[in-house]
Formats: sequence, structure tokens, C-alpha cells
Amino acid sequence: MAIGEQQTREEDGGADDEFEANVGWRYTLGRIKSDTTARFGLAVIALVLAVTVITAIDTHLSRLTFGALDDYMLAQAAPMLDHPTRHPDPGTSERRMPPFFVDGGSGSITDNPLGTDEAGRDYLTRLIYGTQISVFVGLTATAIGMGVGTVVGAVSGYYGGWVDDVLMRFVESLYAIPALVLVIVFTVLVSGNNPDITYAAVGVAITFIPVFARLIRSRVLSVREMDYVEAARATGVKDRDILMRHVIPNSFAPVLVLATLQIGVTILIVAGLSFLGYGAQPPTPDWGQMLNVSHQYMLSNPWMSVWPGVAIMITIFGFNLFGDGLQDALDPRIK
Amino acid sequence: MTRKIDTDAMDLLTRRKLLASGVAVSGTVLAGCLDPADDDAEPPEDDDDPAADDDDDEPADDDDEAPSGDQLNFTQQVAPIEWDPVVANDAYSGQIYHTIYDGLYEYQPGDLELEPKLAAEMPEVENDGQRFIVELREEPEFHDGTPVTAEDVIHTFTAPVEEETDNMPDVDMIESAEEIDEHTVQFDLEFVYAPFEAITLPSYIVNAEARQEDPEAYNTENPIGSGPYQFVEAEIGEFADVELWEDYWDEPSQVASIRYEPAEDDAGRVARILGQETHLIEGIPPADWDDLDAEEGIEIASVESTGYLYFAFNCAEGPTADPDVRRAIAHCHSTRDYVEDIFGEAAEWTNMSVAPETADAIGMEGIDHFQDMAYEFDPETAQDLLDGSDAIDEDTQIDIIAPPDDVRVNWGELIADRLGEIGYEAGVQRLDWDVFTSSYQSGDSDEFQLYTLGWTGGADPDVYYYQLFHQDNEGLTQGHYYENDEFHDMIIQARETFEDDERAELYNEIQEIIIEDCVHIPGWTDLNAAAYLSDEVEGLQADLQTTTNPRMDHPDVTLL
Amino acid sequence: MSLLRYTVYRLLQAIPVMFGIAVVTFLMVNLAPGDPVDYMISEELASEELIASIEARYGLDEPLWRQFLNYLGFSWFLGLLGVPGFADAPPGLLQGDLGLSMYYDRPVSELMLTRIPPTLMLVLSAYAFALTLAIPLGVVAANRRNKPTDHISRIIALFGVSTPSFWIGIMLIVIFGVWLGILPTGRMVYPWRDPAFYGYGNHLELWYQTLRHLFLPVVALGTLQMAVIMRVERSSMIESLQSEYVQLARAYGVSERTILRKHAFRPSQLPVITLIGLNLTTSLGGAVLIETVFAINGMGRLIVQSIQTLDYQLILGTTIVLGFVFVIGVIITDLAYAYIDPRVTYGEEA
Repeated sequence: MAIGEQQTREEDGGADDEFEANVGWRYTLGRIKSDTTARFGLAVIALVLAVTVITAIDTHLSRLTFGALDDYMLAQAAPMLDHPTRHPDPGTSERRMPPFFVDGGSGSITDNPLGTDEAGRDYLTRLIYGTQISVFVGLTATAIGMGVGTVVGAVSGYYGGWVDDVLMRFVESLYAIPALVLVIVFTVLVSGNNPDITYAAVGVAITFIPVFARLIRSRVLSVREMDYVEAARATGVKDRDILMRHVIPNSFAPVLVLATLQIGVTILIVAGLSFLGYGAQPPTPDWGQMLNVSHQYMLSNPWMSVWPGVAIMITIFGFNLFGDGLQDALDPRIK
Repeated sequence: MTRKIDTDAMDLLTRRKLLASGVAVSGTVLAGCLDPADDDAEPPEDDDDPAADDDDDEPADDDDEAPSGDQLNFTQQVAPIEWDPVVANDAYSGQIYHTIYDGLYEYQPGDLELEPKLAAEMPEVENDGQRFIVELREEPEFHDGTPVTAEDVIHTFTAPVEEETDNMPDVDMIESAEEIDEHTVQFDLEFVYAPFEAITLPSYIVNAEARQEDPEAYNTENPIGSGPYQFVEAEIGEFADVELWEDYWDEPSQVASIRYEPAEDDAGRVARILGQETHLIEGIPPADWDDLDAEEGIEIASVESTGYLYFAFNCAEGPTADPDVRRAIAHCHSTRDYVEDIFGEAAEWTNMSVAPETADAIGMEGIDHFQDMAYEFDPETAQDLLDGSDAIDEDTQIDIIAPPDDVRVNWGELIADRLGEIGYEAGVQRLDWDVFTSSYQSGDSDEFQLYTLGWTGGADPDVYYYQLFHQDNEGLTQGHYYENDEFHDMIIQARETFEDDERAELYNEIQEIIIEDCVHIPGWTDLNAAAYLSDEVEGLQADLQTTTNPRMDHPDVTLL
Repeated sequence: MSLLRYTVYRLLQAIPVMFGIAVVTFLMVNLAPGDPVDYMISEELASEELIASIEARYGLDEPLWRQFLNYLGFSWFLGLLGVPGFADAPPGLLQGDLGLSMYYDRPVSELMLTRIPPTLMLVLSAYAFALTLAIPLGVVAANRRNKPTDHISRIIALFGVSTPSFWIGIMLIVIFGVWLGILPTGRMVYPWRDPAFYGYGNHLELWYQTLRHLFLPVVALGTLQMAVIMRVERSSMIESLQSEYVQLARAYGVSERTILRKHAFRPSQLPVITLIGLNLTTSLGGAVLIETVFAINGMGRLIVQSIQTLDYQLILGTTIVLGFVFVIGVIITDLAYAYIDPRVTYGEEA
């Protein structure tokens, strides 16, 4: 390997014993259950997912399903049900209002608790709806990257020789270009300079190919040498079956850990992308995009810059916490 | 052989730059759209070569005599590019070179009153406005010690055509410019061009000999003018330095040197002045206006600009080809409320397609007159108009395109929301400048029904009405493709009439047609402003044109 | 194999990757829909002639494979060798020529030259910041494993990994620049300029101001690296402390302090070095955002500008060069690794 030779060697060598002690699913789950950090991470993830699902249902069915509810709630908790993208009527809402606990803010926790945005829309509502994009891209991009990366890594490790060389050089080249730059260039050029979040998701997925491919490849290389695989081979089981039945399933645990951590990375990249204006497009609420807008109002209302960052941080924190817990659970050496 | 075609290509390219800069001037947030940063990045050796330090020492020596407290730091909202007024046409380069050059005529700070500068007096007009005779002062000299002569003036007015620079449209009506004697020039025009005195004559005069010797260097490294300041050095995107010229022929300025630095990010620019890292900033974001105004030690100088922002309809194709649909869209929301809400003091709502000051200068009806003609916020009328139109049904999607500027995007979203409420689909696309430009220029109804842009004209209404409405400029400075033969004839007629009264009449009528047929929804005219440290800077005056805002060449400006 | 031979060997190994970077970027930029010329001029006005001349000027009139050879500079060599059809081939990447920027109408390499030093200054300072904090913290955390100090530093590290760097930057500007007003919020003071340029009396003041201006961007960019390095430092130290030779040393009664300093510390740095190399790509990506937030005229901002203006040649050039910077960075860290770790055999293939 040309890049990070030592690293790879370490991965190769390290992978063997690091995950060798993986004693199956039930054991792992048991460990997670008893691990406080992992449980806490899981709780954050569950909350974020719940918010995503609820807001997704609401946006798509709002007028139909929630119409009646709307009328009731409008009176009770108006700001919470404001449509996240709708501009308020002239004169009904102040723009860029600070949160309720600040002088000159909304004054009450039931009325625009986090203040309003540059168009006078409720900030909390937009923040809540912003969860959708992060979670959507985080999950899809990681899933696609994991799928493609696994195939590339498996093929590379399995066939070896020039296939391995070519694929690995390609993977390293992808890795060499900063993910954010790769995603921006991909998103802008492939969309014909009409970027939107779907392109961003595919772009991020592409940047994830290297990490997954290299992990799987090293697994393939090490598992290939193991006794039971040799035994299987000796009894005439085809290499492909060995790959599908033993190698990939056995690599699942480390891949899962990596995937959990990569979801956090995706959310970071997408936030950066939207911050530069190439992710989700307004008026769609998205955390990075909200930071892009609020950046201009940094002086007149810094609170607008605070909330989306906090939301991003908590979400990623949840995934990282869970990923860490998962890793610990799978690796008995570090407790 | 291909060289000529290349210049054509450049012409088109930079024409777009011109457009964009016009937009930038009247817009509020630019965020590096045309950001020409490093456009003229100096040859690298200038940076890395230690010998470059010797060059640096020259201005530095002056600094030693007069400590750096004598240098005024000026923060611009967009990085400038070039220094030769024959070639350059972006407002932010102008903010620098207006101190290096003197105009033949110049406007008084803050209004549109023209006064002779290098010229001895106002021009003599003959031949019903087709001949202008200008006499020059004898005493002005360039920074290299040579006198300003008729030859320099002639070169200034003929070079843009000879070299096909971006400024060609300003001077291409000149049939001939002749030297009568060393200090008198006679211009003959191909046709009566009414804005000649207001627009063309106030050009900055370049040094013909120095410029012709090495045009490239003249533009990027060594501009020589006759103005109160001399160019020192610049690195594009980083800084540009000018210093006082000791032997200035007119009343000298008082600030020893000025350093211009760009800060394209709105909040960053305001933070600079709040942190006293700069003496003054131009381009004040509306959101920060009140805070800056209230800040002790900071004052805002402001004056209504000649910039103007609007929504234009696709009048040729698609649903908005029907004037009723256009009127409905104007009725369905309130631009006035939007402007008042967003800008407060930083801009004024307008219903004219020309800057109020400019209209006033030739005696057109005032801003109130046209405001009364505006489409009132009236969703019911809007709905009736739309329901009654064959050009649109409830499945039609109205595409609104906007450049990457939140104020304009929000304006579009507002329209889209209100249309949605009366049952018609609309969406806003925020496009990067280049894509936006080619989109609106296409006039294609698949690309857009509405677009929003800005324009900075200047001292004559022709620069607005001809550029933004006449069919000659379809696909160039306008993408609405509005057709109305009588209307287009009137624009030409007003352009070629010499008498102000007659022109004012024509322009009033033109403006009424624009409102009646709803070609544009005018938005606002913002204020040109500069915020400065009032304890350290005195005598600063804002100006109508971004190019000269604030007026740094004025002798009253003092650094305390 | 000697260290020198190993260096050469590593450099040779990097060639296919650099080639790969050029291929990937070139394909991505050129196979995308949309035509660079479309973005340059308005078609309404452009004559065939004009389009053709622009295409010729930027070498877009040739088939893609030929454009690629031209871009890399192979055509130039072929021309030198007298291969027919390549006589007038322009110089390319191998000759240090990255073509003409369409928007700025000047060479891409010239545009980049002034932009690389600020970015390097930013990224290297961020690493310096990250290492200074992360290594002691990591060691302390490992040594006090599962004690409050360890938990707190782990949580801080986890937050560091979870927070967008540009948001940290914005918050730092709000707090230190706007609210407290004690630090500058944008632009840079470059130490390679003459102090008089900024009106400073001497170099000391220049450096002081450089540090002041650099401080916030460096903290913003360095926090993520600090967190990542700290995590690795900690686990790597724990591993060392559990290793057989440390157990042995302990059994012989060597003091904990000596064990920590002499036996555990040095080997634990190896994974950190590797990590620095591999994370260089993250830092360069982060620099794009940090340069935008703090208005620093570096490579990152140049990339963003090139994308805003759809300047194909500039996008291509800047992306490839960033990739190369990464590859070179990894080679340097690999060499450092080999230098520090006596066990490294300089690659088994040899």
C-alpha cells in the first residue's frame, strides 16, 4: 500500500486480535445493555430518529391528517406547529428575535422559545425540522458508502493481484482528496450547479468508499488465513461461498462500529457543505444552512448561530457515544 | 488573428462582471459572488522574493516619518481588481482609483450636481447637442510631472472603443474627438445622445503616454493619474495602498495614505469596525445598521444611492406572458411591508425603475407619485386575476430565480408563500451568479417566470430605462423580453432628445407603462453608507455612487 | 534497506496514487453534465466562431483522452520525443502548468502560489496546537484510567469529535471578537511580510500579531484534531501500559513514573504519527471552512471561489494540488514513523 503503509499493516495485524474476541451478537447486545455510555448514546439516537419520523409524517400529511389538530394546537402552542418554511404574514412576527430568556427576546417559553429567524419564522420549529436532513443523509450516505465500500474491499481482498492494486490505488486517490472538497465538487458539477441534498448524500457516500473498503479488505485478508477457512477450503467449499458465509458476516461487527461513527462524520460534512451553500437549499430547514444564514447576523443576533451548532453537536455526540460503546463492547481488552 | 475574438470573449465575460458589480452595488449581501479576489494576484515573485521587501520599504519609509497612525484603513465589501479606468468598470476598483485620477468633470459629494474638475468650465454645446467643446485647465499635472493635455483627454475617450474594453458602451457614440489646441477638445457625436454630459464627460482622465507604453502594467502595477493620491502597491484580495501626492494641483487632501482592504463577509466587516481594526467600512448590512448607529465612537454617513432592486417577469413566454398574471403576483404580496420590515432605515421602498435622485435630476415625477400607483396587497384581486387567466392553472409551477443573496431569496420566498396561500404553486431557486445570469438572460419559461436583480445607473435615467428595458439589451442586461414597439421607440426618443423637460415627460410615460404592464416589481433603493470611527476620522461624506462612496478624494477628509 | 532508500521507495509508491488523484478529479470534472463554455458566455450572443476560439484557448476542442494527456503533460513529452500529432502540445501538470483559470484569465499555478502559504501556516499551527494539548491529556487520562480525570477528558474529546469546526470558529468570533473584543476576528497577519507593512515597529510585534490573528482559527481547526489525537494517545498508552515488557518492568520494581516516561511513552506515539498523516485530509477539508469563516485567503477559499464561478481549470488544479499535499504529508509522517520506530523494516516488498 502506498499510503499509510504502517497504518495498514497495523490495521492488518491489529484487526486480527482486535475483533477476534467477538463472541457473537447476543454477547454484544448484552455488553451494550450494561454499558452506560452506549445506552445514553442509544437514547440520543432514538430521540433524533423519533423527531425525524414525526416531522416527516407531519410535513407530508400535515394539511390532511393534522388539519383538525392544527386548529386546536394553533391556539395552544402556535409556534410549535408553524410550518417550518412559511413566511409569516406582514407585521405578525418580528424577525431575528432572540430567545425568551434574553432581554428583548420573545419573553415567554411558549412563544418562539428560541426566537425567530431572518424571515420571522419560529427558530425551534425550524431546528426540529432540520433533524430530517441530517438523519436522512447520515443514514443513506453511510448505507450506500458501506455497501459499495464492502463490495470494493471484498473484491479487492478476494481476487488480489492487479485487481487489488488498481482498486486500492483508486480508493487511496479518493481518500487523498479532502472529503468536503470532493463532495462540493461532485455535488456542484454533477447536479449541473443546481445542488441539492440528494447529490450531497451520494457525494458523501463516495467519500466513504475508502474507509469501508480498506476495513473489509483487511478482514478478508486475515480471515482467509484462518484455520476454519482453510478447513472449509480443504473440504471443497468455493472461495466465493467462504467470502459470503464466513468473511463478510464475521466482519460485520467492526463494520457496524465504523458505520455508527461514520454517521456522525456524514452529519459533519453535510453541515459544512450546507454552510457553504451547497447542501440543502432554502427554505428547507437544515442546520448547516441555518448557520450559513445566521453567520451574517452573528453580530445583531448571535443566538441564531448558537442553536443549530448545538443541535449538530448533540446528534453527532449521540452517534459517537453509541459507536464508542459498541466498540468497547466488541473489544474486551479495553473496559 | 484569434486575438480579436478573444477580446470579444473578454468583453462578454467582463460585461457580466459589470452586471454583477452593478448588482452588487445596489444589493446588500454579495458574499463573494463575483469576488474577483486575486484576479490580479501579483506575480508570485513579488511575494516570495525577499527583494520585494525593498519595494515595500518605499512606502514604509514614509510611514517612518509619519507613524502608521497617518494611514487610514478603508474596508471594502468586495475586493477590487484593476486600476486603469479605461479598462476597469467595477465599483470597488473605482473606490480606489477615484483618488488616483481626476475626472474631466466631477459630481459634488452627495448629489448629482456636475462641476468642472480638469475642465476649466462647463462644456460648450453646439449643433443641437451633437457637439461638445471642452476647455481644459492649464495647471493640472500627472504624477509623473507631465501636464494634462488634450491628447490625454482624447485618448481617454477613444481607447475604450479602440481596445474594445468594457467601457465601450459609454463612449461609442463619439464620432470624433479632436484637438483644437493643447487645452481644448471637441467631441462630435454620431447622434444626439442626451446622457453625454451626465454620464460620459465625467470620465477619469488617464495619462496617454504612460498608458500606451505598457497598458498591462498601467492597469495592474503603475497607474498614473492627476488625482490627489498616488498608487503604491496592491495584492488582490489582500490590500491596495495609495499615498498622498505632494504636488497635487488642486486643494490637497489631508490623509497621508490610505490602505484598502476587502472584507466580503458582512458580519466580518462590521466586526472590524466594532473592534476598531479599521477606520471605516462601506456597505453596511441592514441587520447591523441600528447597532452600529448606536455604538459610541462610530458614526454612519449615508445618502440615498443610485442603486435599485427589482423583480422582473418573463414577459415573453409561459404564464407570466399574460399581464394579468403579473399583476396578480404583484397584488398577492406586499413589497412595501417587506422592505420596511427588512431594512428599516437602510433603504427606501420605491415603485420606480430608476433611482429617485436620478429621476429628480431631470425633473421627472417624484417617488410619491409612483408609489401611489403601486399594486396594493390584495389577495382576493390576485386570486380573481389568476382564476380568470387562461395562461395559468393550479398545476402550473411558477419558478422564481434569485442570486445567492438572502434578502432577495427571502423576497422570492415571500411571493411563493403568498401564491401558495391562494392556491398556486411557486418555488424559489437560489442560483450561483454565473448560472443565475445565464438563466435570466435566456428568457426561457422553463428556466424562470421571475428573476430578481439590481442595477446601479448613475446620473441619467437612460442608463436605467435603456439598459433594463430596451429590446437591444434582451439577453444581456434584461431577461424579461417585454415587447411593445411604442414603448421601445419612446426609450430611444428620450435617449436622443436634448431637452430635459421633454425627456422627463417621456420617462414619466415610460415608467407608467412599466407599472401598468407590470414588467418589473420595483423593490427598493438602498442607502450608500459608510460607518467610521468618529474619534479618528472627520469630514467624511457618503456619495450616491458606490464608486465614490465615501469620497476619499475630498480635501475635507481628515484623520485625527 | 536504508532510510534513504526507503524514502525513494515511498516516493515511487506515491506516483500511482498521485496519478489516481489526477484521473479521479479529471474524470469527475469533465464527465459532469454542463459545458464550461456555457458558463462563460451567454449563448444568445455567442457566435460559433467565438465558442470555437474559447474552446481552442482552453484546449477544450480536443477529445477527452487527448485533453487528459495534455493536462498531465504527457503530450508535451510526446511532442519532445517527436511523436507525430503532438508537435505543439502545451505543457501540463508534470511541467508545473495547470492551465488557465477561465474566470481570472491567468495561470492556475500563479493563482495558487500565493494561497498555499496561508493554508500551510494555518494547518501546521492547528497541529501544533492539537499535539501540545492532546499528548499530555492523553497520557494523563491513560494513567488515571477510569478515574474522574479520565472520564472528563474522554467526554471533552468526544465533544471535540462531535462539533463542527466552523461552528466553533463562529462561536469563538462571537465570544472573543465581538463580546469580549480582545482578539481579531478575521484576516491574517503574515510573518513573512515586512513589519512596516502593518505599521509594526519590529519583528517581535509582527510575530505577536501573527499569533493573535492566528489564535482563533487555529483553535477552531485544531479542536477536532486534538480530540482525535487524544483518544488515540489514550488507548495507545493503555495498551503500552498493559504490554508484557511494562508488566515485566513493573515486576522488577521500576517506578511508575519511569515506566511511563521510558517504557510506555515512546512506542505509544507511533499510532499518533500515523494518525496525523491520515488526518491531514480532514484538516485540509476543515481549512476550507475555517478560511471561509475567518476570511483567510488560502487554498480553501480559492476552491470555494472556483466552485462559485464554475472555473473548471481552477477547480481541477486546486483539488489535485490538495490531494498531492496530502500524499506528501503522509510520506513525511511515514518517514517520521520509520525514523522513530526501530522495528520498522522499511516495507516488506523490498
